Amino acid sequence: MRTLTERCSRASLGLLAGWCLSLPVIAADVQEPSAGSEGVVRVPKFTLIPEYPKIARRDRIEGEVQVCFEITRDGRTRRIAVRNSTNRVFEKPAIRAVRASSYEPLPPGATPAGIKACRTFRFSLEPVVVETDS
Amino acid sequence: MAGDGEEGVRLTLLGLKMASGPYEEKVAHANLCAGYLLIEQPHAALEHCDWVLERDAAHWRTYNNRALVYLRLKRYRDSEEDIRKGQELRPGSKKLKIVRGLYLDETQPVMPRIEIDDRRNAESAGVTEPGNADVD
Repeated sequence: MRTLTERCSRASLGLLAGWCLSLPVIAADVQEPSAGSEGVVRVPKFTLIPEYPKIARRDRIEGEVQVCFEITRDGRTRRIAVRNSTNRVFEKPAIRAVRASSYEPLPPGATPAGIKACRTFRFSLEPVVVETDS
Repeated sequence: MAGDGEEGVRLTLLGLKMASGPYEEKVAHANLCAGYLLIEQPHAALEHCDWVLERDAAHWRTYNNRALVYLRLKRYRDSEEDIRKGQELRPGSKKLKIVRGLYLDETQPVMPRIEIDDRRNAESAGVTEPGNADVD
């Protein structure tokens, strides 16, 4: 597991990016395979974690977006579309993140390129405990 | 910026002396409230905000500014109350939303968290062909 920052570590069921996200964008490498509709396992090579939208953070909005896309033979993402979304404010960052992410290329002769996959982004805000005077 | 604020306050104080009626007085005090806040003199700002709101309880901009003054003074309950009053008078105001965000950042800070889940693949999501393709 390689990450650009030790703070952004991998969890067992996906990529959990917590407080490291105060930076605009964090890139991380993940190894979870993504099963495509034809059953071919594609391994993520580079996963861009989206930025939490400023307005959503200001207004304390949380939500979830599911983005579906195809993975080309050389591992790029294409035909990116939002499938489900609880709030439109999260859609652009999710699409941008998928667009900038990539998978390991298929080996020569391996089954078809253009595999469909989906990725769900959950945006949440966790309370930070602070010391106050009062 | 602070220099501009100080000059603004100086000129507004001059203008206040020559105010020709209650309306001009109110505008001057409202601007002094904002000006003193800008130059980090919240106690002075508060006097002018109070002056305006004692005479015009529907001046949402001054509620907005006084909420910021209270934030500077760490009077959080007063700040929240002014934000509430301001939003009653001006629902949907972007300025008030920003101030509310500042208030929440001070009183209930949060840390953004983003989880990426690849478990649900295209088949389980029922995807056959991506619609509304974004680009490429």
